[in-house]
Amino acid sequence: VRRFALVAAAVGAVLIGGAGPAAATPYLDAKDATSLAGLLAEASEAQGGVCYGWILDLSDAAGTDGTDAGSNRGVGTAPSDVPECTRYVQVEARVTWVSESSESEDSAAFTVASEGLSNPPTASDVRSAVGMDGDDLKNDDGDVLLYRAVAALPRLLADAGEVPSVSLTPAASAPPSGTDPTGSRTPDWVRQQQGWLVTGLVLVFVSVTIVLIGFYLRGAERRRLAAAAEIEQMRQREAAARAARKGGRPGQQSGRHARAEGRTAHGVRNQQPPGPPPRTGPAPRTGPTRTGPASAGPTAQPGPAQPGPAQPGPGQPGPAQPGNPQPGNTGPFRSTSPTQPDDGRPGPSQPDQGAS
Amino acid sequence: VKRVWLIAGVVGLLGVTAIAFAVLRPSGPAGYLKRYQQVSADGDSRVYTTGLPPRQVYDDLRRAVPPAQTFTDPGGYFLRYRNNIVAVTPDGSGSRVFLDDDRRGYARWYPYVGGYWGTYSGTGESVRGGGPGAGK
Repeated sequence: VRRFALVAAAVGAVLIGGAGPAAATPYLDAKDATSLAGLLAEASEAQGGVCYGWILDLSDAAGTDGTDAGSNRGVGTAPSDVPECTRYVQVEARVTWVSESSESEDSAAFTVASEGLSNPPTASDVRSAVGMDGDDLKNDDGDVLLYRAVAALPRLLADAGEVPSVSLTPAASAPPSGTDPTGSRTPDWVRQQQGWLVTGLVLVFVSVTIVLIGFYLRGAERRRLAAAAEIEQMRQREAAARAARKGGRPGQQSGRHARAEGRTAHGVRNQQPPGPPPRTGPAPRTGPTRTGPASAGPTAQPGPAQPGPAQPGPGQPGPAQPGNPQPGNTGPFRSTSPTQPDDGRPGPSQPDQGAS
Repeated sequence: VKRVWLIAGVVGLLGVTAIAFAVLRPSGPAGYLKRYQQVSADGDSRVYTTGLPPRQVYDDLRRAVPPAQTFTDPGGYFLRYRNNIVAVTPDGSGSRVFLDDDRRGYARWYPYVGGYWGTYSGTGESVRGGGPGAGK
């Protein structure tokens, strides 16, 4: 109740003095400035007459420049401008709001000045108690921060042992009907367990990222395998097509069989069969399913597995011993690899060897 | 790729564990204030005393249990939590700490915090927020 009386007195002083609230406080709302002056007046009275106040220079490109000042003695005058205030502490601030089209940025700064006190609060003390930076005064809620910074001065001075403390008196009656508390709806654990929460969220994010990378790698592996299989299928189809084309030429397949039969029947190696020349003729083609030199053609069957009278005698090499290349074993009966066609056309994977 | 799945699973499990730990851990100022001597209790409202100065109690409490808002009055420090209001006042060379739920705390301290943390239109009513708003 005493606070209300002081506030009323401060309002009366402002009105009697003829100073328009808007002109005296371009930064704070006039009512807030009056309220703050009353708060400081109460503290000053309880703390031996120490003066408290504020002075803020405002440069507003979109509004009115001016100085916002006040103290426990009323709105409009900072303690430093009151001769009777031999001991004082005040917030001094500067706020610059530039126009929207300006290249410059809004700026603000504040400090704490004092006189006649041995251990006054500093700007750092005020920032710590209020939870603000000097630059915050440029923001939309800068007036709230200024109010809180100035209101904290008596408490900080008492904490320093410079002046006696002001005691809080609980309300003697219930609050007026229709007034309710407001406040943050954010659960306390979000702030209190912020470290664990942030750590957990980061780990979950990393995990999700790893999963995405895993999916990408798996997709890439599948695409690579699919491409390899497709290439292999193309090779097989191409080889099959070649074999089909070759099988369709009259006389060739029968001639080859005849050559093979003739050689195996007489036990003669490297016998040039009648028909096309070795290099240009249709050599026995080997498909991809044929592996190893032993599958180079009908005549390349290993000797021991060849039944009948074509089996060579002891010490006599067979017609086409696999794995035993002979210098004269050239021509259409030489060994061929599955990927290296010998018809003079380059294969898919060994383009330079087809002409050899 | 199997190793990638394993790493992702382990990291994700650690993350979920950390979040669960944060959610399930006791929160709020009541647990922290138990370290001080309780002098009275009335339902959820409790009063504690300590030989520490108000500023140190205020700093320790807000560091251990960060409040949503604070207000420094010439008479003491107020801390606003979601469901509690804490007031730290001088008591000789030490401090007296009031812990209330938000309704009781508001009723007890509305002459001081009514303009900030409630709809009471007493002192400082427009300082609850907003402001000139002329900045960029």
